[in-house]
Amino acid sequence: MSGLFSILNTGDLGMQAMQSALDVTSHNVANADTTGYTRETVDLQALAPTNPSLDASSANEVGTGVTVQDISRIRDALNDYQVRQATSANSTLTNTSNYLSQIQTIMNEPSNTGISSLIGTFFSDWSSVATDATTGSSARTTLVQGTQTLTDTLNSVYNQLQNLKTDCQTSIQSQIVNANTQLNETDELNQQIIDVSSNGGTPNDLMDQRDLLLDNLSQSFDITTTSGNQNGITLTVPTSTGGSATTAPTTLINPTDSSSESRLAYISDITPTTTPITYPTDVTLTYYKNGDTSSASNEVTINVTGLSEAQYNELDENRVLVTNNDGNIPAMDTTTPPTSVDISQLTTLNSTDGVLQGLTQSQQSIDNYTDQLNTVAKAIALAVNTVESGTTAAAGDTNPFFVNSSEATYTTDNSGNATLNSSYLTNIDDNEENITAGNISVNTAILNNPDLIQAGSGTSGSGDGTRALAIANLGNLSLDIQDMSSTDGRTYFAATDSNLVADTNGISTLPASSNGTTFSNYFTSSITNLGEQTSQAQQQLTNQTAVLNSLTQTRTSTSGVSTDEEMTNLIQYQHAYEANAKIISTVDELLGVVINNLKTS
Amino acid sequence: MRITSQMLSSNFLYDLNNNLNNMQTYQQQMASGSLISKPSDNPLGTSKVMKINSEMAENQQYRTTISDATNWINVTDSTLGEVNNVLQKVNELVVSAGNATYTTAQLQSVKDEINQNVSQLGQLMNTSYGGKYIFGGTCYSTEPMGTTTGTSAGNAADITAGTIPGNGNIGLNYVDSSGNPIPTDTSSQTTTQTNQIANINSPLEAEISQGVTIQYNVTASDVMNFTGSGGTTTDLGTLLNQITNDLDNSNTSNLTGADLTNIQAAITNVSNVTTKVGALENRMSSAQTENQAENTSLTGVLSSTDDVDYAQASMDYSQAQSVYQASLQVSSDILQKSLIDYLT
Repeated sequence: MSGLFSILNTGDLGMQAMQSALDVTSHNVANADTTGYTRETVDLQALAPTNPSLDASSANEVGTGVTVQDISRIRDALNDYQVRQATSANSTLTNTSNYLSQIQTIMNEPSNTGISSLIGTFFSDWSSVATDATTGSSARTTLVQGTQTLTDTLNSVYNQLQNLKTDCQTSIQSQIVNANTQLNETDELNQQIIDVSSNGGTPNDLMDQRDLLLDNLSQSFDITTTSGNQNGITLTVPTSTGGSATTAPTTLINPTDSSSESRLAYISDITPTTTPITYPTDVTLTYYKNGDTSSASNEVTINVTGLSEAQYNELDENRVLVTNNDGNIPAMDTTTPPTSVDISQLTTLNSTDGVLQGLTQSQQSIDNYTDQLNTVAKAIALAVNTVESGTTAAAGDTNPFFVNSSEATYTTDNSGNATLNSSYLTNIDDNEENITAGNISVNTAILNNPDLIQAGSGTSGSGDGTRALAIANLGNLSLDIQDMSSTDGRTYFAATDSNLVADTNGISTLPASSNGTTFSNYFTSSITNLGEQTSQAQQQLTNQTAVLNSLTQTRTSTSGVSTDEEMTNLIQYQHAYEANAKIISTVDELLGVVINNLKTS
Repeated sequence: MRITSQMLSSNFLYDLNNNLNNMQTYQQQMASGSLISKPSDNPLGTSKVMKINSEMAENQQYRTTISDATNWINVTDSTLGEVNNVLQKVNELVVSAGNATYTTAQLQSVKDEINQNVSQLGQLMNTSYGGKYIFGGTCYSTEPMGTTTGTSAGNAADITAGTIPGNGNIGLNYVDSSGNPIPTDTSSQTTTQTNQIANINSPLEAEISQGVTIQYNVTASDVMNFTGSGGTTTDLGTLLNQITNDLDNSNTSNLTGADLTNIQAAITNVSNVTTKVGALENRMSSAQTENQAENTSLTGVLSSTDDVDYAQASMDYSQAQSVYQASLQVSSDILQKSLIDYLT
């Protein structure tokens, strides 16, 4: 009897196991297109005989059925690690190549309306003035109008680049908010997984969700995950303190102690306390806890001391602070928070890949090309101002041709003639040093009255255009533009008036430099560099996308659901289920024979 | 390797995107006609294109300058021809006045004719082109010369020396910016007047090619100053005053002597200047030819760097198109089938 009943039991266990298997199959099929879903399989194990013994009578003992030992996820941890690395690298390149393309679009070269063409037109207009130099000539009017087009274009390109940089920073802020949210969700899932695992369950779907979140996090920065007890993980990112190059890992997900986890904050404002900037400098730093700018209560302003130029630039472009779980930087997590901290107490994110790093690199590129644009603008302004006035001492120039529009103020009389105010002329050295592509403009006094332009040597007749000719020739003059810094003024090209050289007509002009370049060539090489950098980034992106694609394919190959395979399994389990049912009904009949048919009276 | 249908579709999408990218590149090239639409397409090519564009613009500016200068020189040439004619007439009149049989009245009529010629000369010296006086040097916005009619109040010694015209005679002289005559004697000129004459006689230069400038004007002093009899520099205005004065005084020995030699020297001077102008015209003509040749060669280089070869581009495009269509066709067949279609 126990034999038949145990066969019944075996059949029953078989049916239950097949039911489980069908359950798993249907779960797989239902999630065939779910992102991040790992296919599951049943691990069936045959049950050993209940009382294995060594005597001969039990030599032919048969096992007692099947049990579902485990429902396991088919997932390759190494492949996961590779995919996340590739995702980080891919995100960096996507962002850098995207922003470089946008810088290219803003520069608008090669074109007939771009800055290169306008610089050429500017010097040609001076050439026209040289042959038509009398007061009231149309060449003078054409020159000032054409120059205004040049300065307007320079201003506009500069502003667009600054706006692009602000875009980058806004993207950093929203990426930080996303990352923080994802970190919090991952932390919750981590805790749930640990709870379920410690109760003996297999939280397969929770682990799928956690893996998906980790994939998303790997887009933001480099993550390192370490597996721990009960399927818990620890997540760290590389950070550095005080702007140093060495990195140390900071824990963002801790399975045992959530309150010790760090989070990210967004720096919205860095302003040096003294202008003009001298390094090392102090800055006023404003950051938002967890990157959340929607509430003013998240805003924290502190004074940071002792920044070098490199540290200031790095902080400006990086914009991410690592804070404690409550959003405060560690130095301020005391009962009486200080108002001022040193740069060595700040921790910033220092990952080599990811969206945040990509946005930082994009800002570096934007800064780089903006600097080059500024250099070209200032070089043209200073060179023309020097030759037009004939002196390298800016203080001796009462009507400079190019002015710094953020400092220049005018007095206009009733007939529309403007005069440059003396307040500009008193500080003209500083004002000219601070000319950038964003504030370069034509002196309004000259714009309204082109006759103020000195076109001749000053002592000859009104038709003398020799000075205009000298200025036109500046376009072909080789100058040390590439080494010009943001603190250089007119004296950079020629230290004193005695360093000016006289050209064939006796006009004092700038000395040529043997390893210099012309304005036009400098700008062209800047654009060429931009083109090369963009082309390289696009190439790398294409390669990296192919790598990521290939790794993702491998993952899908291992973990993806194949509906064909599931259908085959379905048929298999269905037959097995039917066969088990058949055994039960057979045993039922046999039992019926035994119970009902053996005893007749 | 285990393949799932998800892999098939994601592969298909990835390759489809690449095909479309290729097609878009060719489409853009053919529509715009240039290979380089942004620097990243070809950084070195971009550098070349930008440099050539700026050189071509510079070349264009030189062409305008050459053209303006050429027109100026042509006007100068024809004016100098007229000046020569006037001086020839004066020469004939001086020769005829040397005839001993002329009465005072006849000499007077010769003198009247010469006065008319002096006025005409004054007009010719004030020829303008495009609002600029061609003999005015850097003061080309005001007339460089003018005529003065002598009065009876004139100093006799001055009249004899020729610095002012005699009574009723017309003299040719420089004028300042207000139109007042400038005395010939440098010691009686004001500083402004001396500067004015220096400016009238200064060169106008034009840049016809990089680093190459030419003087394209003839100054008033080029015409007015010549080496007269006795080897000294003489002024044409002074000479004409002396001629009319000699006619007034019926001084035939001067007329047939120094005056005749001087007027002939003046004519020789003008024809020398005309020859120089002729040479300048040839120079400008060859400069123009060079300029056009340079423009053509720059355009050629630009075209070879940047222009699309339509034959090549169309072939590449149709190839990309057929790859795209093939991928669409094959994938649509494969992606639609699965085991489920065959299970009953």
